[in-house]
Amino acid sequence: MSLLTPEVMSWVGRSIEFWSDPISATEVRRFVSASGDDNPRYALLETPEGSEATPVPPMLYYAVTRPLVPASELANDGTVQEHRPMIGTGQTMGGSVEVEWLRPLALNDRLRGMRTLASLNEKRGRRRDFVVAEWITEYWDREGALVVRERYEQILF
Amino acid sequence: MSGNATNRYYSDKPLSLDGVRVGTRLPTLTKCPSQVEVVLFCAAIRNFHRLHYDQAFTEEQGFDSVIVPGFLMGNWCLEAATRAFGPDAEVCRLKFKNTAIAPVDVAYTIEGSVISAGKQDDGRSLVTCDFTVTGPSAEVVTLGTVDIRLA
Repeated sequence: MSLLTPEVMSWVGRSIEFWSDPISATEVRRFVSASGDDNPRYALLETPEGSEATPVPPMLYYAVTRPLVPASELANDGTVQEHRPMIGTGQTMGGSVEVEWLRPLALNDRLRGMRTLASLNEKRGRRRDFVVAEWITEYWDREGALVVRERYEQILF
Repeated sequence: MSGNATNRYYSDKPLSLDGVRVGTRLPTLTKCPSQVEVVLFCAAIRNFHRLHYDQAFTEEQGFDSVIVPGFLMGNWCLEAATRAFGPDAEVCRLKFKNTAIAPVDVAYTIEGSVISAGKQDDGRSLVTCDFTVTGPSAEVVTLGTVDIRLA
């Protein structure tokens, strides 16, 4: 039986809007220490007023836009039961990711995201059948300028 | 920040547009993530998938060890590129795909090479590099591509 029921397929094309937390010095320090990528470019966290914006690790776009929810609201696999179709066991894994930064992220950036489910495709795996969900997300800054584009393939099974 | 700190991070001789051609190899980066490091990284990016910290759950899913998150391996590719091209390098695109399960507590080698290099319309240079993240059994666990813009 196909995992792609009519109800599941009705999700294709749906979008959700969300806001990030502002990118703080704490978020930067946490990411730098955890990633082991101690690029000195991201150690300069004191920006004199009026100077060029302080750059932050590019991958922080992801951290600051992830929702923080109580453990009781996590799915069995630990993922956030956010806006997504429930397929099979409801579990997910990451697939491929493509991110384009139109400008460097900076301290105090706050991003508005729009995430759209572009497609769902069923695949036959060695261990089990699964579905590849293709998500397209765009992120704008406070001034409405597009900052980041992301294409993410999520595996649902 | 001292100049020495900068020099310890970047290559002794950062690559530039003039200094690379298709096939130029970047300095190799090695990583050996422990479970603690993986937990710290997952907390930093708000990824609470149990595959990254819950051994019993991971075994139920058919894997031997908790798994290194894909975003950390993607960041390794990005790090290898920025170390190689120096402080003026600006990452403008990253693509990565996990091709095999990556367990914790083993060594990974991040190897990259230039696949294209040239000037953009705005006069800045754009260099694209492909990366492989390889585990100890020579299995490639992640494929990555990074675009670097140079002043």
